[in-house]
Amino acid sequence: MKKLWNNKGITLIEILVVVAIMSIAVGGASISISLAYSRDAEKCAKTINSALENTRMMSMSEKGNFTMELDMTNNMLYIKSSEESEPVVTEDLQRRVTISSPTDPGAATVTVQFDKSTGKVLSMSPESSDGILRIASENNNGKKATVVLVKGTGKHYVEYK
Amino acid sequence: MWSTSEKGKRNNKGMTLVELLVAFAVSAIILAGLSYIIFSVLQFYGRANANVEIQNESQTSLNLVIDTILSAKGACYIEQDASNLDPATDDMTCALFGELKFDKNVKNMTFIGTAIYWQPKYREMYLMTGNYDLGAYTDEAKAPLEAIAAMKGQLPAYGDARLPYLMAQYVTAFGLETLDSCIVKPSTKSEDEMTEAEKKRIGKNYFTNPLTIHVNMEFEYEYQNGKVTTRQMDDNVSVRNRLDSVYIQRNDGKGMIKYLRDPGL
Repeated sequence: MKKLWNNKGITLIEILVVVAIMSIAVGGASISISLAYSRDAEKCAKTINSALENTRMMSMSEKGNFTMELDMTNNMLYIKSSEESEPVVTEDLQRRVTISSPTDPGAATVTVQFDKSTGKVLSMSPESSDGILRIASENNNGKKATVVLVKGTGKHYVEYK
Repeated sequence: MWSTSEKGKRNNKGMTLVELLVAFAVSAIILAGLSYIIFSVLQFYGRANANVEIQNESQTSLNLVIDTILSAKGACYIEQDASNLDPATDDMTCALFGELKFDKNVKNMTFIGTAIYWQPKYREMYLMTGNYDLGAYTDEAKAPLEAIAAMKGQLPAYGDARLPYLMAQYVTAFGLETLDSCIVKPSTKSEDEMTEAEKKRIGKNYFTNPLTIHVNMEFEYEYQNGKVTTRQMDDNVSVRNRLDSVYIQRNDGKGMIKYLRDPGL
């Protein structure tokens, strides 16, 4: 009788090889996905840090007063000019990141203004007693990156801890 | 896809190991080329980012230094080569731009102004502005150096307490040098040939107004393991105010000397 099916099937070794290859592929994919996610906080902090620099540069070189405003409930960042009604820069930060200010954990917004001649911080809120403003970004995995702003000199940088 | 023979049966021959290996080799070569391109683009991106970072850092910190010197109401500093810094230790340079007052009656000194610090060990610069009581001094000759040492003591220890004074990072060199044209050279004439005005100068050191200082700063930023980008900045800055006297230890190393403003001949 003519065989309808090839009933040979697959050997155990073949199954093992396939499983091994699949597990390597899945493992690699999940590692790269989690890596991409874990950089969220870092990326967000870097965006805030460069927005601070941007505000300082514009304050020192362009007409008008510039304010960096960070809306921490909606993860939105604006740079506003006293000369224009619309924000000069609008940036939508990562949704997966929680932004807060360890300087004042209750604060919903952060605003910073720079001095036009020296580039030092003119005013900032929340105000702190030690002259340091911190803005922390944290992602779901607990990865954290903090922007540190020094009031006395206007120096700011990202700190990873 | 599958080639079939005339009888309708499948050709089950498949590929030989050699064919498979050749295919692997070819794809490996292509992938290697692609990954090299991606890698070099990423590296270029990293380098460009680092350059922007270091430019911002150097420009803003040089601006602050220039601003401090411009508006100084007095000066007391050791020039770069005379400072003998050992980067392995906690040693740092400290330049004072402001009024240094010595109360002769109670032998007490105060400083009102801004101090600029550079600590090679951490490659950081700090700025401290305010009104500081620096305590006692031994005698007038040693007082300026003692004031610098006392101001170093005013800076909090490395860590969070020092953070409020941080001005710049990645600083690998910071130096101040008085322009030679600002320092009046001692007269080479013999005392008999000197005019009365010139005779008054004997034993004193003078600088010509305005005091002009050459500021040199170098930055080094590591953006990847072992990959660095560097930047050097320098500028000549003149003190805007008419200073009566300044304290400078010059590179020729004769110790800290008080220079008076040259009244002219």
